[in-house]
Amino acid sequence: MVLHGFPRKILWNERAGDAIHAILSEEGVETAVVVTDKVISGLEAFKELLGTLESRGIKVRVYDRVTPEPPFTVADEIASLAREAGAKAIIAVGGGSVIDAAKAALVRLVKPGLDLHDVAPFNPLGLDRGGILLIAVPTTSGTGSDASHAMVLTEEAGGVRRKVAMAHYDLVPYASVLDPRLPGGAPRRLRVWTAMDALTHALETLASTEATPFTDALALSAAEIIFTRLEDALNGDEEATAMIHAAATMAGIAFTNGGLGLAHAIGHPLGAALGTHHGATVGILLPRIVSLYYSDERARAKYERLRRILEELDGAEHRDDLAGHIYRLYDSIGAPKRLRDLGVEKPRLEAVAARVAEEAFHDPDIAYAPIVPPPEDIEKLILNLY
Amino acid sequence: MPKFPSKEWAEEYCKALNESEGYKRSARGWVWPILFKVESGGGPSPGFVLKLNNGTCEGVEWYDDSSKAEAPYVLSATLKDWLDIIQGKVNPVTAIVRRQLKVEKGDFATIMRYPLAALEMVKAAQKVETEA
Repeated sequence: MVLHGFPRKILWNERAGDAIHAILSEEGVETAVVVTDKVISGLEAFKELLGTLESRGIKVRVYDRVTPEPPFTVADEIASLAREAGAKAIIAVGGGSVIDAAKAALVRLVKPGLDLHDVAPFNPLGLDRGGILLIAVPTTSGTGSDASHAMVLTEEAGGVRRKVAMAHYDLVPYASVLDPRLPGGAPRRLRVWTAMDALTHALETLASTEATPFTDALALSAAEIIFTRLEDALNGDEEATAMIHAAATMAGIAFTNGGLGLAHAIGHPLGAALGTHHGATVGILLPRIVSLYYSDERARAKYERLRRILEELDGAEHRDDLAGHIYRLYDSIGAPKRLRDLGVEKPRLEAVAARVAEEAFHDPDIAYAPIVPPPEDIEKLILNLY
Repeated sequence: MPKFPSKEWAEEYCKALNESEGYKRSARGWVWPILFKVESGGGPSPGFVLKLNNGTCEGVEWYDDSSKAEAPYVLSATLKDWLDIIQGKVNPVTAIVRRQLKVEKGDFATIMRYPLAALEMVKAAQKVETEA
């Protein structure tokens, strides 16, 4: 059995307010809770979204206290608000943290007796039969959380903070609303870093041991869009921005169903140890991992196919391998290529490299890597990122 | 040549795990016995407990009725799904995500911290000559 999970609806290149109203009307939903953070709730685009819904008769309550790396408690706060309002939809407007908080709230709203720690893929949840719609409106083009089955929450025990990742196909949002004006208004540096995340999703899934024809199609196309349109998008081209926003969700669907690999397995503990942005961290790892994967015949064939598409159809200059094209892209958009570009100091990296290499071997994403080098080689690779 | 599942197969599997350098390395820190249960869809479900400890297999217990077994971790699947995993048709981590392999007992998060050990267990299972 090869199961694929997708959002039921994807509305692309629409004004978010119009798109959300269309979904709610079709489903007969009159009351909704909108989940976001303080930054987004202050943006004009967000106010316009709310105005659209309210002017068309949708009763809206706003929860705007989601913080980066949200704690478990956020789920109950949102669920309580939704219950009190009689909401039949949770609308998450934000980046990965906001969407993850909304996913957790959906669980607590539909299954109030279920501890979030017990959300595991093999436990039936029945969230899709709970009568509550989860609509994700990503404001960045990168995490793919609007299409993924995963959520990450943070808890503190004994003075130690730890991230807890949970996954279930019922957590894939009912609808993903892709309004390119939202990421288009984000700071350039954030747009570069989140795009690196999306490209990493696409290229890791392409080489994953669990890739399928469905994930190959999405990953290949998402990567091609990012290679060919990202620079234009960052320079203000609206059509290119819409394409990049679509590519991030396509890559999100791809990795949800096909798995990731070494860049994420190393990137998770590395980013946690150094405090670096997730997208930038995995993006710096990406060309090294792609080069490493060239020794796997299946991965190389897929990467070479993409290289030929870029060169023979899209007119890119020749490079010896796909990693060359990644570096070319990074040069063109001013992306960080080494950890020092993110302000990481060498002694700090040397202090954590061995532990990060060890932790990478305990990250579930490593299960999908076509090649797994020994720990000492992973440590060398990490040190070479400086 | 033993068939899967059987006491003989489980014993051969335990030996294969002990001969695997990859398993020894990747399962460092895993110190809990696991009950591998084959769902019967009717009467008693057979299964076996592998006594796993820091990259080694210290012994096997066979049960015609696995409900009589005690282990801190219980993994269950149908015979077809177990064979798909053992033959490498399905990645064991994916099998969990797709609900083909169920964690009936034990801490899910702890299991997910040993993805390479799971892959090495599959490789070791493939080394056991199994009756078709």
